Amino acid sequence: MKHNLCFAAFLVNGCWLSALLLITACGGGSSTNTSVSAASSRASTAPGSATTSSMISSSSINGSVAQSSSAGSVAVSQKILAPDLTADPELPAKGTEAHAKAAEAVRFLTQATFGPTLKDIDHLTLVGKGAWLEEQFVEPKNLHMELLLKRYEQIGLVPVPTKDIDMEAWQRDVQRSDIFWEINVWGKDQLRQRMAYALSQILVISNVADALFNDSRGIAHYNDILANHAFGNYRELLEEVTLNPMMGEYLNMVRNEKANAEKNIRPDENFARELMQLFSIGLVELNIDGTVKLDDKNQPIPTYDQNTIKALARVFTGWNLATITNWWEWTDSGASEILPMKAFPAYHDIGEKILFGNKIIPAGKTPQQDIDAALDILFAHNNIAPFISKQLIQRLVTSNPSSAYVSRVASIFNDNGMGVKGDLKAVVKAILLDDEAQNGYKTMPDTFGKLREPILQFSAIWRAFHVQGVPAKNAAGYISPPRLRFYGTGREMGQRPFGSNSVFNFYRPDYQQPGAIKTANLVSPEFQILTESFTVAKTNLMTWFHFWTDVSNTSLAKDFNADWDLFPPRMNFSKAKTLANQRAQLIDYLNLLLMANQMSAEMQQILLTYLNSLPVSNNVEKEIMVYEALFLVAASPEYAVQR
Amino acid sequence: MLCNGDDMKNKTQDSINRRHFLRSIGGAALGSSALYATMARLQMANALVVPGDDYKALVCVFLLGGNDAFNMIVPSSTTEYEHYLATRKTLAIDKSTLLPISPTTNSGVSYGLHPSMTGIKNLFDNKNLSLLANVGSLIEPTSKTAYNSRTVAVPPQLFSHNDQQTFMQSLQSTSQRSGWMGRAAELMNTANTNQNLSMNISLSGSNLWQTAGDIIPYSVDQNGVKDLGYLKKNSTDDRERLRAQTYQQLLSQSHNNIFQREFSRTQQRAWNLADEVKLAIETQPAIATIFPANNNLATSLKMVANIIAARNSLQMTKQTFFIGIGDYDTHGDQLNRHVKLLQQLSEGLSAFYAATVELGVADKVTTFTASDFGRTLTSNGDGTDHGWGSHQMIMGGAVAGGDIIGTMPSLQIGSTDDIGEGRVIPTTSMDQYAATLANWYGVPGNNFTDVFPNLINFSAPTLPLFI
Repeated sequence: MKHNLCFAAFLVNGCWLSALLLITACGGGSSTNTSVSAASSRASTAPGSATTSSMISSSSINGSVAQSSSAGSVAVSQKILAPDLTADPELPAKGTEAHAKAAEAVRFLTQATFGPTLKDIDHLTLVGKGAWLEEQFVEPKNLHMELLLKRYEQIGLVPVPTKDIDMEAWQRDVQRSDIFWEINVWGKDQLRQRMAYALSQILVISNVADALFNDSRGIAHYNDILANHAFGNYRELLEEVTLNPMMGEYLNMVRNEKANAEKNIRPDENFARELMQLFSIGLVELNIDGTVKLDDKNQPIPTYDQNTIKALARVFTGWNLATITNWWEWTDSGASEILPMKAFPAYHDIGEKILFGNKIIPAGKTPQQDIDAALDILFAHNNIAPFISKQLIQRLVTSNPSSAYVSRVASIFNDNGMGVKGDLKAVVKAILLDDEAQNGYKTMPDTFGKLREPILQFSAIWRAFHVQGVPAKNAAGYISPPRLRFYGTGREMGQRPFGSNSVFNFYRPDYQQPGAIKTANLVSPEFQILTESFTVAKTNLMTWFHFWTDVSNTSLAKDFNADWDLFPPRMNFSKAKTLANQRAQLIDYLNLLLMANQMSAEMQQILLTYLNSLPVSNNVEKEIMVYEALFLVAASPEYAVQR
Repeated sequence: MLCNGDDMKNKTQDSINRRHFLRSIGGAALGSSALYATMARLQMANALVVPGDDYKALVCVFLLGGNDAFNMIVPSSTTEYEHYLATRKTLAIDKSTLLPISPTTNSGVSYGLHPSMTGIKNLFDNKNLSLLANVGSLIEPTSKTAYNSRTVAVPPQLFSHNDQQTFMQSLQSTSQRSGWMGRAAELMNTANTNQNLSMNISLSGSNLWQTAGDIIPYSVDQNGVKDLGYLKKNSTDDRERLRAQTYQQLLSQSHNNIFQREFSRTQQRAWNLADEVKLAIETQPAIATIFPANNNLATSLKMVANIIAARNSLQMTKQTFFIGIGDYDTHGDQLNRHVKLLQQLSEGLSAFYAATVELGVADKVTTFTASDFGRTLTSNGDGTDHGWGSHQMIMGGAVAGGDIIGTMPSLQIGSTDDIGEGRVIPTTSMDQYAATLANWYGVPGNNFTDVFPNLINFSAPTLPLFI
């Protein structure tokens, strides 16, 4: 369940300082206003059973997680995450080859990271894309849960309580969000985290649903699973996700028991259905290039029927949370959010299962053997390569990849060149190094690219200008180290990481914006959340988060109320301010760093005319010059599209 | 001018005086802004006596995830309750807690409502609400035999959330789909004097129901319409006015990328309408009806009531509203979750009905529920799975209230209504339900076959849902 008290900031008559209003019903949260969490209110089905909660120490959890076979070989980052306080390299001069290379780097980094920085642009142009990818593959990884547990300790919360406290849920989840942002805008493992973010929009869990109320550690750990496998194998990722207790709670595999005639119950179908529909093969047969196969009557061919769902539902019976010893127990142990679910063979259906009419899982297998067999069958399905490859292209590069592009990437998914299927490292390499990713903006200018999603739109600007957090001050007067507080984004812009309204993500990969896009039979997933109310709120948020945020500004608030779920961080505009007197160069600078030098001449002229009307006789006016230019770029239609 | 420090006070002052400022400013200074158009319409609205007020609104409350209506309305007659209990076992609602209702049509079986729905019971008793039994997605009338022998066409991907939401909202089985309310709006697009604001308003963002061709729902946040700060075209501040002009130029650029063009179109529409709708809503007297706090549905319905209150200012005579309300996918922990969901629904609908009475439009506003699908009669241990047919509610002064319309299914496993696990074959189609609502709303009857593609397969095109 979601906390029902959150604070929202509104622009007051265009003024950057904001009034803070108490909102009682936040975001998509329903009014189901209970003080008992869904997980803990799940009463046992056995009458009279005693409740027990197991105690597991923080260290034993740390020791038992984040191990994963193919994916866990990269070291964990020991660096303390911090903003970049050093100066940027010089900009290449316009018209030079270095400038063109930098623009190319910006395009690439926009697809591969949470946003280009001048240092990354410099480095990428030096080493080249292939070498940059290899560096990223071995870059030590940042672990969300490890940092979260430290953060809890730092602010006086028990990192892994033996019993979750409902009243702490909001505070705990805000810390998780802070860390999500610190890792994603300050971390060096950019490609890994960008992939994890893309995967989080395919293998969706969300704590908008009551089921994941007060499970922030579990969600942070789930984020780590996605990051651990970002360059691993999709088959292994599927298995770890299947056995993960957050997914178990979200799609009801936990406590799913075999049919029982006396109780007139049968297995829960939820996970079985969404595993096929959303996480592996999709609803209809696909060609290798992602197009829909048609039968002789020109109709799509369903990949599965209800019989397959029923059989697969039986596969996923007999699993429960790891910290209990008897099936009917319940637990609110913090550790149960993390540890893979545990098999209870007595509750597993050991009968034969037949999938897709002819794929047989023999009777008498263990719960784990059944899962292995079922996932092997799904993984062997011809759909999985185009189904997953196309969505990853859509998350990173472009909404409407050509069938040839999908085909090239899906072929690598099927075989990485060494006979291995599902190698995500090879897949992401194929996606980013493809000619269409790099040159689609020239070869298909009308349709290439994607609407920037709100999360990536803000992260790109934060990274470009060395974002720094602001301390949070709580009721007891404790002032924290600087935080990146950006949690209320679901309410404001329709997108909060691990906060979609359902397992169908913030938007569907086949969403078509009505009008020209639908008429052209193109898809535009991100437009599904570009509604009038969200786009106005997003534009207002851009003004609030961009104006008056320069680190040199001494009139800014020194801290913010720890209960707030949004607060503008500081950015470093020192370089931009030096260009305030040379307005055309300021536009060039923003054009290169934010727009890969793709700004039209017309847009440059419109901006220049406006900036020329602004005075620039003192430091405050220079600062304003930068804000005005940055805001108009960020809110412009040309910047709105990554291409 | 961007405000900092002392400027803040001036801005706050402006805010206090805003309505006064709007009244005093000359039209010429406003140029062709949307605000000017609103002002003109507001003057017209005040000048016009609206004879008879032919206003009508359809409000769709879509229960996302698939509501378990078999626990919302439960038979209380001895035999039927025994069937229900034998099927549902631990998920059954205790008979003694059901809220008894007395439908106008006596089917010989007595029924009760879920104990958390006292508000719905009152509406039912006062004949302001009726129940439609076992409605669902159908292409043509479907028997168990025909279903099992596959001799009947059924909608694609039964039991899949997004596909069934899509069918309920589009009634189409084709690959390119539009919403039935979107298609209806295309036929009625001259109904409203105001041609800038969509007939279709969504409190829950994008949805297919209200979408077709160029018809796109206008999306309103449940807490109200926000306008674009810093970008007032009519600002007294020279800088802000110039900035707004500059931004207008950016949106008016011709782009060769389709996403840039469509972003511009959306942003422009949002910018134009924000001022207009915000002003119209905020200049209405406050609604006195108390809406329950901490109720997401009620908050959205209150905003719908606010917009309906502003109908004359907005020059709208036909409007639809969409609210999607979540978490009905009760695979687990159903007994606990469903209580809260139905209570939210009951209290939200009750308050909204009271607000329409207060506004004098109770017989001009019809509210109806829809959902992805019903749920299985059988249990998976602590919840239910994706089913098919289900019961829905229709509320309003024009509704033939206090009745159960349609045919209640058998709740016995293995009955001719059950295709397995208690997935119940609908006896009334969504096309019939939708066409009945559309007929009341005023969709021209000669176009029904275009809007409701499967209606022709059913002998009764409309149902006796209205007085």
